[in-house]
Amino acid sequence: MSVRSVLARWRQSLFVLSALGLSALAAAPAQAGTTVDTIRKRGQLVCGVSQGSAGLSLADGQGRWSGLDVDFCRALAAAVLGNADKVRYVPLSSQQRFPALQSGEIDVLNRNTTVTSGRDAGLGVTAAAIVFYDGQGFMVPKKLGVSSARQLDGAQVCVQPGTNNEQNLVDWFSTHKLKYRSVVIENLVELEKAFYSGRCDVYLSDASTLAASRSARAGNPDDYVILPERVNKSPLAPWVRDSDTNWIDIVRWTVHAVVAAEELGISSANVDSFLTSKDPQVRRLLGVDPGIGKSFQLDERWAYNVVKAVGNYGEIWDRNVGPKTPLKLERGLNALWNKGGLLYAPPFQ
Amino acid sequence: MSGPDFGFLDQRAGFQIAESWLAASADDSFAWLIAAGLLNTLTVLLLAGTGATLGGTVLGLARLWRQPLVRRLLDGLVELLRNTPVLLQLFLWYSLLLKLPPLREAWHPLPGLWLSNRGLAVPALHLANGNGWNGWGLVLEWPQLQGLGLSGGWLLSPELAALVWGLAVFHATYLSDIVRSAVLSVPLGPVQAARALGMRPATVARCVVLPLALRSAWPPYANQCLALLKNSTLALAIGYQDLMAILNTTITQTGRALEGMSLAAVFYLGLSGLLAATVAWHNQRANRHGWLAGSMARLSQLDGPLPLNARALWGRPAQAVLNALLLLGLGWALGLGLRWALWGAVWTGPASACEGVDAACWAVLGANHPLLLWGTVPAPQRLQAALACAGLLGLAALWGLPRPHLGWRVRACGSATLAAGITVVLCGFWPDGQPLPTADWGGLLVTLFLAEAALLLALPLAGLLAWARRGGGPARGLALALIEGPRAMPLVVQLLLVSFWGPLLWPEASGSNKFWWALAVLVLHTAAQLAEVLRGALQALPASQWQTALALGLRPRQAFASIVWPQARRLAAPAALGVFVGAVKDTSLVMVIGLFDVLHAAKAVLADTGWRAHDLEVYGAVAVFYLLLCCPLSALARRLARDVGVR
Repeated sequence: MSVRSVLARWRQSLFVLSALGLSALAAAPAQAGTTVDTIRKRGQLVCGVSQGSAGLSLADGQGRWSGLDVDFCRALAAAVLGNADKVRYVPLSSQQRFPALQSGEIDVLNRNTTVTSGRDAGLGVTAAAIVFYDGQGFMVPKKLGVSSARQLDGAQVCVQPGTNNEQNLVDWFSTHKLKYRSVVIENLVELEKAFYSGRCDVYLSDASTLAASRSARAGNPDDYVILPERVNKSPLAPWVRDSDTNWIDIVRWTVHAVVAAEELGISSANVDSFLTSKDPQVRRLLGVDPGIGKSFQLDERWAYNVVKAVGNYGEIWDRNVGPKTPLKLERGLNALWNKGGLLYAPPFQ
Repeated sequence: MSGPDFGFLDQRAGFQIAESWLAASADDSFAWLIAAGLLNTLTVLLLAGTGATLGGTVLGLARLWRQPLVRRLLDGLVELLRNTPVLLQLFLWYSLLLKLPPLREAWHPLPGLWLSNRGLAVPALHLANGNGWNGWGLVLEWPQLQGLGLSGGWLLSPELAALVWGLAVFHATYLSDIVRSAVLSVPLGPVQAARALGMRPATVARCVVLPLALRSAWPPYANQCLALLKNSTLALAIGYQDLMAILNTTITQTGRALEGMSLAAVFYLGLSGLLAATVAWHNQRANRHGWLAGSMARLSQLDGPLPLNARALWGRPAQAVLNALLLLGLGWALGLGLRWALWGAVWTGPASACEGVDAACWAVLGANHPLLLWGTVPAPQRLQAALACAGLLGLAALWGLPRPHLGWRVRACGSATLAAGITVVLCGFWPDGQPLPTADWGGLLVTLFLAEAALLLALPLAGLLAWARRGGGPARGLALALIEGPRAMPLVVQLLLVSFWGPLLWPEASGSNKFWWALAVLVLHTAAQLAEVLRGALQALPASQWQTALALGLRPRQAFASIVWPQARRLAAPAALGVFVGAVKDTSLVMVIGLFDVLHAAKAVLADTGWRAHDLEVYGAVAVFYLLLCCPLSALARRLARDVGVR
């Protein structure tokens, strides 16, 4: 076969490919009906989650999904369908997550996804409400004798691609005029192996991930320190499509509802006793006094269903990432506003 | 959703590439960093390709050596390496390299030479504007400890080393098969003629065997080169930033998934096109002198069975020493393995039971077996999944197990019954039956179904494609596109492309249909490779046979069915076996689009903080699973080749 015939062959292949592309553009997706209608008709919420991130979304040994992000999927199913179990989880890689949302494959993206202006403004998607205030930090072996990240000149840094990690790393080191070399590994197991074997001096990740990794992987957790500097803010949020404002509202206020429940002292265990409460805030939130549910086009008891199924924010935290879990995280920024944190639910009225 | 927008390419990238031939920093554009990634891919291709070709040739010839123990050991090694996903092997090589001493205790035998788990640092020659004889000169730069790391010199990173070594070893096993079957398919006549003319064995090998062997080796060799290019996309998993890794970061940085993946498709199409053109040119040269007339006898007739008995092992002193050493080494490795896997192992209990144990922790499999076996299939429906898997295994056994007395009618009826049974089970056709939609499938069910369906559907499609390619007109063009497109692009890119474009093309069909898209991609990918194997086999047949058959008055169809096809099938079997095994292992890549296959389940187990330390056990179990799936396939294909040969 001659080179020319091979080239001719490629011309044909490319022609087919471009024809495919053009027809794709011509057939712009038509979203029929609202997201809530689709979910009701389907009888299931389709929720995009990670492929495995401890404490946030992970299938356990029995094949059941659990985690903080998963609990917010369950909360939404409870709000819309009245049943927190009616969720189908779609595990997504970091490249796939936004296309899956844009194309309508999933209803909501609860995949430890950081809110940034570029994503919010540029991709036709919206971050509905922040569910977890995280921030990236550095972990180093204690024997390196480093107490501040400013002493990390020439360091070898292990980092996972796919989030904003790599960009933040460059920004931080160039701001402080330090040099570094990176080792970028997608597979978390391999990445941590590289760090704990000494391939890298530094492990850069979300502080929550670092803490969890140190307690689980390090032979002796005291041999490693998480440096005080935070590289960036990393607020995680559920994401939805720009086009459906009603659905954006529902996702946003479902998050607010679990925070409000904690503010008011309502938990999954005692929510029934609050149904007879005289407090107008409680009565409006739980739908005893009707009105709010209708404005969302939901059942009046939606917030009651949410709290009954997944509990308030504090319960969700303790169950998935709190001190009694392997992650052993303190609330920190994720405490209520009146306890030194940033969680603040606007009024339900 | 707006149309594709490639404007991001000249924006500031804002991320850094760890190692590159180009001077690339975070301030350069995305386009420049992508170019650096492309160069890295080419580096891997060149290094691993050379290594695999040399290694494969040596290994292929060594496997023709008539030493019973050596041959069996080499065959076993090849089977082991070929029947496990290459990704798992890369993990293994990388972990081994990480066991080198840390930088502070680096091995430093000569000035300027440092070997540690940061890599191998050697002095580098730079062209620099120094004080040379006319201002410019070569400057020798020595690596030095500085700050927390090494600076200066040239560094071979463990990531690149593991990737190149892993890919070279993996593809060398395939190439060894190609080399071996190419040598064995050389016609006996010319070889005997050369010997009769008094040529020395080395001259016979060089002047007669080599050119003839090359002829049938080129098409499958080209397949392997393409496969190597495609496997190089696994670099990201062990931290080498190739083209795909850079495009991935670009996608997550900009959110432009469609554009990024389309770029990847174009780049890999281009690279494969160049590769294919080069090989096609060589192929044409190798086949320039038309077909050999005559003899059906091939070198394979000289390679009879090799019994493993006392005389063959200890007959001559040199042989005895070699075999004794081999057996000693084997026993030592076996002892170490058994101590780790059996005697010291922890079999049950929670994650805490395995702390501080310097042996296998099989408890991880017991505690997570529902996840590993069935993924996220809801508990009440696991029985359905299990029954379907049993049906699938039965189907495989019906066609694969050595039962020569089973006629094709029995097999066809059995297959139809089993297929109907699987359908009934999965659709829940009974009172109160719940269907198990593909979106809920997981673990074994995904892997088994995808593997079997891909093989089953790819076989007829491959025949059709190969046939259409030999014809003319628009069918030929379409067949070429369908063969070369899937062969040219890494499977990961194809899966992602389809998962991005698919919902745009058919918005109403999104979600649960991801599974069927994955299957379609796998089928086409397998069929394209099989079609090429078939073409290679047809090329190796002497054209005179065809002409003789026609001259004897056979109709073309009869000539094809009774003369050409049986021989082509035998010649194609070894390479087709490679494609089959590859197809089964390729199912492990569907996790990139979010299907919950066995490997995905394994990764989910390891994402759990409690079990994260036991990757060797979990990946080992996955490797054994693939071995169990692939080894019978290899055995079947070997038997097929032998059966046709004896008849």
